[in-house]
Amino acid sequence: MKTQLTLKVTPRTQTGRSASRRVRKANAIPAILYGKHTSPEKLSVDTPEFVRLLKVVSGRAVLIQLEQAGKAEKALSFLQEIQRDPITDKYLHLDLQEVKANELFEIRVPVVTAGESFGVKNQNGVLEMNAHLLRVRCLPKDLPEVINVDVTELKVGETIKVSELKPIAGVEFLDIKGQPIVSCVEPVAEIVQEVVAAATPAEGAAAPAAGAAAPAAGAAASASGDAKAAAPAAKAGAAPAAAKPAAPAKK
Amino acid sequence: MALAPARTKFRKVMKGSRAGNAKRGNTLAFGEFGLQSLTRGPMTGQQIEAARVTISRHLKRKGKLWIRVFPHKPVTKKPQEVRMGQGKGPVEYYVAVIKPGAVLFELAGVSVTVAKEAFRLADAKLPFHCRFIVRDGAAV
Repeated sequence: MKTQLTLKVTPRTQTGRSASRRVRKANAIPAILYGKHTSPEKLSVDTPEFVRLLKVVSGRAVLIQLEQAGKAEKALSFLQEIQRDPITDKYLHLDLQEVKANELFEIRVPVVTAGESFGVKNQNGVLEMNAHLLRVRCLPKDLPEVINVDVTELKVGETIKVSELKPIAGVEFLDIKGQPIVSCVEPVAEIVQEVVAAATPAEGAAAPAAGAAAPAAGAAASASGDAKAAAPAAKAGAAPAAAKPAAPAKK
Repeated sequence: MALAPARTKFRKVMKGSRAGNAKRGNTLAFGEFGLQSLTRGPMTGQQIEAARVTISRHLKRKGKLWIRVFPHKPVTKKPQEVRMGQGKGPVEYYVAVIKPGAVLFELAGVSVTVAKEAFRLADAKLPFHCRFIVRDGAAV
């Protein structure tokens, strides 16, 4: 834990959809702070300040000190969840989880690859991230901001799993040992689907026969002198007409 | 070959509703970059295939592509010059119902400029307004 960030929060009393909308309209984000030893506390966070904080965080796992007016003690917490509108990208709600300095806690830490893979460099492979976040258990002082995975030796067809990670002092990986993190795979060849120009002889013969059936049926209808009969004749399908080739039309 | 289900429980379905925004599949799940729809409508299997071919041709066997949508819904059509009635027509093609916010494609293993251009070309094949999205914390 290297970076110590501070965020100003204000308590809020009202809850629910309307109250939250009012908070958002006042350029703030409704938030909640909860922890193992404290009862949940409803808060609101100033949006521009939170955006500035997120820029500093930039894809790392960090602890944030919450500064609340009227409270001398700063609560140590981390961002458990950030709810965003998928279209407008506006922040809707924040979940902050309180942690104690001398207590183990669980958090999801981002994975960052280091170096250029041998497979990508020399074997035309593609580096595939199988896990973007890993669950760890540690004390706040031992929290790694990111989990660095060295991929320089990774060849095509190889995978780095959780069990192969370098141990970090005071940090326990909670994901299953066989969980893949990064793998180098061969690029998928583009499937070229060529249109078959020449169909099989049986199909080739059937198509013109079916095509010829329509004029034959039309001719039959006109011969009988009933124009309305043309539609049912066509509706009757090409198969019977094809079965009886053009015999009525010759009449 | 356009995407279509291998088998369906029911041959034909009703039109259904396209109201609201995408509640699921609206965030990046696999890759670093994504193409997100901003409007709604049906996306046919042919359109998905056309966009996929465009992206993979631009990538030149680099990177990895995920298709996040699948055309599950059958669309029927009556044959030409057929009078109304006599029941619902046969299934013509399959569509994916796209709502605003749905992530259509995802990419990884390529630079941001390549991904952006690939998605721009793919967007031209689609009947939606789309935007390019990037995973938080991705190296851009």
